[in-house]
Amino acid sequence: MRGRAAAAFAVLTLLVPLILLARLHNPSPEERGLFFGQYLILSAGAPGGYVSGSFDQLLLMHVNDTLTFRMRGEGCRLESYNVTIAHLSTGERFSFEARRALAGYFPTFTAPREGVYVLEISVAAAAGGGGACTVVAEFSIAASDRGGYAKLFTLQAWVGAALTASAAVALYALGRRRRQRFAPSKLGSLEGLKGRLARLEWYFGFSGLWVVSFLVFLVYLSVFDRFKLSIPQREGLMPRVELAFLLLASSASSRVEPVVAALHALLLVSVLYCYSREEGYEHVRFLLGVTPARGYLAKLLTYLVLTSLPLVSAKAYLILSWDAALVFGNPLQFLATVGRVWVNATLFFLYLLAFYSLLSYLLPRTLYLLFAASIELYVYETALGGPLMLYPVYRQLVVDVAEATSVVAAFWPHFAAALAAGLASFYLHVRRGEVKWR
Amino acid sequence: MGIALLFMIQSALAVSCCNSASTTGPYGDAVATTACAEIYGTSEFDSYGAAIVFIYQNPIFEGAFLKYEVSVFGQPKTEPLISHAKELFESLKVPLGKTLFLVTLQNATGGTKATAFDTSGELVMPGGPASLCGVFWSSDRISIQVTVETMSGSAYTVNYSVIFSNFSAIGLEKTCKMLPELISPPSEIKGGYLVWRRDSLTLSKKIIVNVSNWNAVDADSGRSLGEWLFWLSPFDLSVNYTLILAGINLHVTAGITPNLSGFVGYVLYLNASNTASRDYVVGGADIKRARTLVAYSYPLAHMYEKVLRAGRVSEEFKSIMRRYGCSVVQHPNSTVEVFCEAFSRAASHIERWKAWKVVPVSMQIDPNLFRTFAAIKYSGLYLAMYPIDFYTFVYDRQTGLLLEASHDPSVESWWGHAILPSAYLSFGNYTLSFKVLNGLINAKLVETNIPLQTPSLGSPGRAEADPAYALLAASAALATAAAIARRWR
Repeated sequence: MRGRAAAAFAVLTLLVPLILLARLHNPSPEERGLFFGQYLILSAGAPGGYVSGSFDQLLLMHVNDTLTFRMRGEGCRLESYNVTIAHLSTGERFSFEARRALAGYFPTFTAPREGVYVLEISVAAAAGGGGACTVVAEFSIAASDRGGYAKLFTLQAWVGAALTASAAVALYALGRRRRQRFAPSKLGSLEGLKGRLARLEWYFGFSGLWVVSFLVFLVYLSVFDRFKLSIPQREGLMPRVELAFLLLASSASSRVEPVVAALHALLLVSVLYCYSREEGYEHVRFLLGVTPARGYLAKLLTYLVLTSLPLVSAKAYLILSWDAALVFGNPLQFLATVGRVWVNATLFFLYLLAFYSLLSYLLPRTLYLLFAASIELYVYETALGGPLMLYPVYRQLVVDVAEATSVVAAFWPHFAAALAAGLASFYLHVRRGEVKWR
Repeated sequence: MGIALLFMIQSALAVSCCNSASTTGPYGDAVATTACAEIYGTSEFDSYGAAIVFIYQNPIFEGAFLKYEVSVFGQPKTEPLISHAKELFESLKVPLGKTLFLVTLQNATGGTKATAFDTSGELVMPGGPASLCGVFWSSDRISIQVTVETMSGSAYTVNYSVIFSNFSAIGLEKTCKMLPELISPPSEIKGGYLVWRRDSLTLSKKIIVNVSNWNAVDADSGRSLGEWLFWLSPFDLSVNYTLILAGINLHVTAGITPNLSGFVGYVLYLNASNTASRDYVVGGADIKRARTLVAYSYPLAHMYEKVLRAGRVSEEFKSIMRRYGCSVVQHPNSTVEVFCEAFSRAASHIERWKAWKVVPVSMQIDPNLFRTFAAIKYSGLYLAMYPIDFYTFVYDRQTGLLLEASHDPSVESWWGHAILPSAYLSFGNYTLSFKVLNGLINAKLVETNIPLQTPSLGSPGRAEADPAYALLAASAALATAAAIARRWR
């Protein structure tokens, strides 16, 4: 079992760079394209005089991406500006100051390294005849040639291939020396701690659910934009590093991510709550002498770990890839951010579980549950809403990493319904009685 | 379990197509981005709320000039016409230049209909009384020069010149009698043909550009000649989506309904999130592609479609439509509706700012198909927005200057109508319309006295080792070692 897990883990080191290479050849619009935004820098009433203001903005850029910006004034003329761009984690800074005639020309910035940058602009303008002066800036970033990354990912793929091959050979050779299998029918005959451990091992190995979760981790990596360019909206008064981690966490996302997450959750529910009734988990629970209530909670915990782990790992992987210096420089903040994402993701998966597990009681056959829930997902759930509000809840909780309490407050009828469904599901599953295993 | 796994993988693959760029085409990226941004409720791309008049520090000044070199690229689409032209040039012993056009002299009022050209060899290509004359027009080198002569608060006066070097042309004497008055007297008349041979021919026009609506007007006749294309209006520079009327083709009939004038208008869709695929260098100034804006021909003729009994709509079709800013709604009774919201929204906003507008023309094509076409109302003409020729226009985001205007190489143009140099060449009641025969046309800004150089910050770097991967590889090695050690015991 541990050997299989180690082999699967080694395969990841081969597949991850291959997935990233595939993205280089088939990039998403966001990766190739340009992010464009308009930001208010200065708005002041200054009849006939000078006004000034400043502005700062975080940016996620990759090596050799190019940033341009432009400012324009309504009711006033730009007199001077000062722009500074700094790499947040390394502190590398680039500055430019323009006055008078040059204030109509704006610099172009080429990113020498990957990561979060801070753009700071201070501007002075001469107001016109009267009324308000408004200065607006527009930002755009163009993706660079990704040839350098292709070389890096190819090298990584070679390392991964070597590691996977050596792991496979070693585990195969050793596996021939000692082979031990636990069939469910033999589990009952094992005694003591050894028997318990064997049953636990069988439980985690059953049906290869963990393999599916490894695969889902890869699916997340393949749908996330490795080269996402981000110019976020400002988020109130928050420490810059915290804001940077939130920018990284929310950039590690994809439009199809909620569907993948929901399908993964659905698959796990169908196996843990439907299939187990037919055979498998319930039998092991019975052999272990665990009550249905504790069995239900054990399955719930298994579900939460298996659903949230791939998602949070994929996000953490991208955060590390984008700005490792920021992570190693602020490990506690990194852990706090990942923890926050994890809590929110767990809440989302709990929310889904409440509905899906109740549905699994009503439709106890695996296929019935899969069809019913997936039809609901495809037909009724939309970006604007749906019976479960799956997309909006996911976006706020997992992508935007909003405060969980505010999301629950915003969608309180849905969360109240989820709570009711979850309690009903627990009650029904526990009360339905013990299966008479032969 | 197996079925469940298969189901999950298939579903994941199906949904990932939205995120992939498997569908090719130049229009899609930003449109898809936009559509998805709209779908997912982000506001980054919707800036019409900010569409107010901004006072730019205008880079254009009196005496400013822009010089474009025109070249031909790609493969010819009209081999029979080229063969015929070559034979004619050889038989009359006229040198044939690198670029070959079929130039038609059109009645600029556009009151009559033209028909498709005849490839039988007769030089009077477009039929109908409006197409008075067709000329094989050849040149080795073509340049376009735009000079700002005067500017006021309400208008620019611009001199627009097209210079043909090593120019030669052949036209039928009986149909092209008025052409010598418009361009220059022919070098000779041979075998019923007017023959021109010049070291250089310059066609010049004085254009007045109205600053309030960006309409270009012929200074001599006062006739509207289309939207000004050589630098963007403050409105176009301040919004995320806009439409540009790039040209009018009086050469092609487009009769959607009898109410239309029957000609084609070329509309470019500009999404400010779109950049060119390469950097530009103009007069030593390096313009990074992040500094560019690209406008593409809008590839659809309609803005709404309803199909009854359409059956199942494929995900691929939905994906393509999404790339054009359209959403597809499939009703349970198998009726399918296509809404092109991005285009409609841009169309509704340009009404206030431009001298033309989009007029919806709704038609029942057949009992099962209902469409709302986008017609263009401009200066007394109702034009159809038929996508028959495709263009890309690249602008500098900072100054708004046109950097490159070209046929779109990724989409096949049917007629080869060359917006440049055709635009603004109006003489009295006639216009000269250029159709490139030996490839596709490209006009590139090569020189200007408008400052384009901007300061440069930062420096090129190289991709560094991926720490997440290193961590993963180390963990995998550790896990494998632990597994081996355990089994060894």
